[in-house]
Amino acid sequence: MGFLFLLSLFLMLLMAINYQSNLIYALTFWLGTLFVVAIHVTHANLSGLEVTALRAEPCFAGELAVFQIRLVSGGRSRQGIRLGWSEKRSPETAQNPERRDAYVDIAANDAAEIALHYPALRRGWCYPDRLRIEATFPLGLLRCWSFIMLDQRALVWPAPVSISTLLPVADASDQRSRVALIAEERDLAGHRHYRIGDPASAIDWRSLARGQPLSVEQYFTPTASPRWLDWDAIPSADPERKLSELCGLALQAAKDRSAFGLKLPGQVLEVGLGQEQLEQVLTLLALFRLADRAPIL
Amino acid sequence: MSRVFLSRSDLRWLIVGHGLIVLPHLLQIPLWVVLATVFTGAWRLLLLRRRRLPGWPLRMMLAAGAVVGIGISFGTWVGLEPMIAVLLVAAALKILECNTLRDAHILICLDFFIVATHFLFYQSPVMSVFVLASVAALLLCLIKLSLGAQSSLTKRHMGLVLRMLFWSAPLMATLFLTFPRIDPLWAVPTMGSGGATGMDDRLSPGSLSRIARSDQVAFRVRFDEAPPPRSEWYWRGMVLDRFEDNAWTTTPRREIPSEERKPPRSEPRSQGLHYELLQPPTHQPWLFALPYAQTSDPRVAEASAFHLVARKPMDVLHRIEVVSSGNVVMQQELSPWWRAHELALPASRNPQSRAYVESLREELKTDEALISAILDRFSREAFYYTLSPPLISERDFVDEFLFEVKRGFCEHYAYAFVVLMRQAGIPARIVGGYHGGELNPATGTVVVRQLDAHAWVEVWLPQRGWLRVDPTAAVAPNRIELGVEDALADEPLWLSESGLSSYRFRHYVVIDWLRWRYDDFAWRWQRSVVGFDQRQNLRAVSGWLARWGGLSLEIAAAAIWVGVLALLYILGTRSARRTPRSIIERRYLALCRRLTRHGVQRQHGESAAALRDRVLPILGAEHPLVRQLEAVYRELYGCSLIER
Repeated sequence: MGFLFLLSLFLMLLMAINYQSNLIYALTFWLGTLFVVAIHVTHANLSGLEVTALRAEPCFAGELAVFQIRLVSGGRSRQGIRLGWSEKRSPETAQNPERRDAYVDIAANDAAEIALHYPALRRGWCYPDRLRIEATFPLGLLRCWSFIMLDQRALVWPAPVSISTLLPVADASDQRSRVALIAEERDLAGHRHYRIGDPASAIDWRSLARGQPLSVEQYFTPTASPRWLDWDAIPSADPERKLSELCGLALQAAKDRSAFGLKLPGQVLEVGLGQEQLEQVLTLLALFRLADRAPIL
Repeated sequence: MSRVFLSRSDLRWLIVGHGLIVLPHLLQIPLWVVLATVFTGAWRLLLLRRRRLPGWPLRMMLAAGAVVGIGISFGTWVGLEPMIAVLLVAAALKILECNTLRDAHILICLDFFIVATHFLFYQSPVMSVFVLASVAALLLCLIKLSLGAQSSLTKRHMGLVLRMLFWSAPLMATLFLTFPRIDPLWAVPTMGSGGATGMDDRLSPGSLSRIARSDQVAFRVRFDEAPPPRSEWYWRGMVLDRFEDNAWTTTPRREIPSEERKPPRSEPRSQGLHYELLQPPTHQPWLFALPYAQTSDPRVAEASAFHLVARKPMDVLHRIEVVSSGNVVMQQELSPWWRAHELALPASRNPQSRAYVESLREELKTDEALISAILDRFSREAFYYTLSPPLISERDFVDEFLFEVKRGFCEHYAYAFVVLMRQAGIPARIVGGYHGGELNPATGTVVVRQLDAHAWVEVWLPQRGWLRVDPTAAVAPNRIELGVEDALADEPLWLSESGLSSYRFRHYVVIDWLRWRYDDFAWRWQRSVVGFDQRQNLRAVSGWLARWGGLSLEIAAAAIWVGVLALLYILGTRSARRTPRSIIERRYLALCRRLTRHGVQRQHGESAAALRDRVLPILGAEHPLVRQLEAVYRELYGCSLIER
C-alpha cells in the first residue's frame, strides 16, 4: 500500500511541476516527508516490546494447541499489534480459519496476554512456527514486523478412538482382568452437604430444584477390578492406532472413575485414580517411542 | 495479503473524510458531480448492514453514465475542470465498491490527490489551512484503518497526527527550498478563462461595468518609498487603439510593420518610483503598472506603447519589480504609419459628433483648447457616471451617448472621447487598466481590486508626446479623488457579484482592522510561499545562512535531515526502554550499583533478602551499605529483615 501512496505523491509532483504551483510542491513534500517520519513512528510502535512465552496447554492430535503469550508494552502504548504464525513455514495451516491472527492494543506500562491457537497434527511435542509480530500503525501504509522463535512447546496426546464395544469383555477367570471395557452403572452412595471446591457436575441439581439445600451426590469408589490398559491386548496392528485406542480407553476409565494402569512395551504405570493418573497415562502415550522425549517441565 | 474487510466505523470515517475534501470543489464542478458523491456516500452507508454491494454491471453502467455526463456538461473531456470532475466521479464510484482495506487505501490516496487540486483554484492562506485540515482528517482515517476493528480513534491519535506533521515540517521546508523548479514537462489544460474576471484586451460598452461588480483582488503593489498621491494611481494595462467589430482592441504585433515595432527608448532605471508588483495568475499576458514602467524581469517585455506585457500568459503568480518614471515624454515623434493608425476611424459613423467637433475646431485653434472644451462640456452638462447605463446602439454609439443618453461608465466616456479626438485629427487611444486601490495603512501595500477597473484616453500632442486625459474625471471627480466606491456605492449593482464580502463591511472598525491584518498576511503568503521563486528567495535564504554560520544551503538542509531523523530514532527507541520506577526502586538499584564496587553483583532474580544474606559475611552487619539495604527492605515490604 505504501507504493500506492508513493505513486499518488509522484502524480502530485507532476501536477506541481506542470502547473508550477508552489503550494502543491509544499503539500507533496509534506506528505512525502511525513511518510519518512511514519517509518520511524511505525518502528517505534514495535521497538522495545517485550514478548514472553507463557504456558502451552496440551491437546489431542487434530485439535488446536493453545499457546499463551505475554506482551509487555514498556514506556509507550502499542497499537494495532497483530500476532500470528509465520505463514511460509506452515502452508497446510494457512487456510485454517481457526488460525486467525490476534489483534491487541496495549497501554503504556501495561501488559497483555494473548492465546494463540496452533493446529497440532501429530502426537508428541508440538513446536509452533516462528511467531510473527507486526503492526501497520499509524498510517497502515508501512508494515513493521519481526519473527520470534519461541521456546515453547505443547504436548499433544494421541487422538482418542473409542473402541469399547468392539472388544470382548475380559475373561472373568483371569485374575488380572486386562481390560474392563463396558461402562458400569455408577452406584450412588448418598448425599452430603456442598463444600466449596466440589465440582459442579456432582451437585444434585434435582434436589436443589425441589428447594432442598445445596448437596452433592457421592458415589462408591469403584475398587473392584482395576482396569489395565494393555498395549498387547489391543488387536489393532498399527501402533499409532493402538495408542489412539489406549487413549480412548484411558479417557473412558477416567470418566467412569475407575482405577486404571498402563502397560506399554517396556513401561508399566501402576494402577492409579483421578486426573493426575490420566495425565500421566496420556503423557506416556503421547511420547511413546518418540526420539524427542524431553521431560515435561 | 489476506483480504481485510472494513468495519462500519471505518466506512463512516472514510465517507466523512471524503465529503470534507470534496467541499471546495462545489464552486468549480457541476452540482450533479457533487450530488453523485453525496448519493454514493449515502447509498454505501445504507448498505453498511449488508455485505453485498452493487454488482459490477451496475457499477459499469454508473461509470459510463458519469463519463457521458461529464462530456455533456462540459462539452469536452479535456481541460482542468472536466479532469477534476472525472477524479471526483471516480472517487464517488470507489466509495460505492469500498469493502476491503485495499479499497479504502486506494480511496484515500485518490483523496490526497484531490486535496492537492484545490490549490489549482485557490491559493489563499484560508484554503491552505483548509487543505492542511483535510490532510489531517485523511491521516486520521488512515490511522483508524490501521487499528483493529474494535479500537476507535481518540484524542491521542489527533495528537499523533499533529506530532507527525510537526516533525515532517522542517524536512518539507528543506525540500521546498532546494527542489529544483523545472519547467512544465508537457502542456497541461489550464483553468477555463470564462470563470475568471479581469481586464481584457477587448473593450466595448458594458465590458468594464461587468468587471467592476467584483471585489476580487486584481493585483497588489508595494512601494519601496512613499506612494504617489492616490489620484495618480493609473495602472496602465493594455493600449486599445484599433476599432473593430464595435469594440476597441489592441493592435496585434503582426499587423505592425516591422520597422515600426521598435521598443521605447531605455531610460536610466535608477531614478523613478520603485515598487513590487504581485500579479495573481490571470492566464493573460497583461501587466498593470504606473506610467512609464520598466523592469529587468526576463519574463516581461516592454511593449511599443510603453506598457509591460508578460512574454507568456501568466498561469502562475508573478512577482515583478518595476521602476516607473512619471514625467518622461512618451514618444516625441510619431511616425506617419503610427499617426495614421492612431487616427483611423470607421467612415460615415457618428455624423452628429463629427459636426460638433468641426464646429469646435473652427472656434479653437490649439489642440489643448479643444480638449479642455470637450472636458468642460462633460462636467458642465448633465452627464452621469453609472454602473448600469441604458443600452445604446452600436452603430452611432457616440452620437447617441453624447447627445441623448448621457449616462455611462468609464468605458463609455473613454470610447466617446477617443472618437471625438480622432475626428478632430488628434491621435488618440484608449488605455485599459485600473485606477486607485486601497492602501493598507499598516504595511503600505496597495490592493487593487476588479472594481477599480478603469479606462481612460491618451492623446498625442506634438513635442509633448502621449498625454493622459481622463474624461471620467470630468464627469465624476470623486471617482478619481476618492475611489470608485465613493462614486458608485449607492448603485444596486455595486458589488453585486461579490455577495457577503468583507469589503462590504469595511466601515466597521474591527472588521476593517481584521481585514487589513489578513490582507497583510495574505500579501506575505503570496509573496514568499505561493510566489516562491528560487532565484529571488534563495538568495535571501542563502545570505541569511551565510551570515549566521557560514553555512551553505545544501549543508544546512542535510544537517536538518540528519538531525530530525536521528532525533526521531532516539525518541522512538529510548522512551520504550525506560520503564518508570518508584523512588524506592531507584534507591535499591543505586545501592546495588554501589555494592558491585565491593565485589557483590546482584544476581538475576535475586531477592533483597538473599542479597543481604550474601553481603553480610563480606561487609559485616555494621557496614553502612548493609544498613541502607535493610532500610530499603523495610520501606519496600513494611517489615524489617531481622524480624523475618
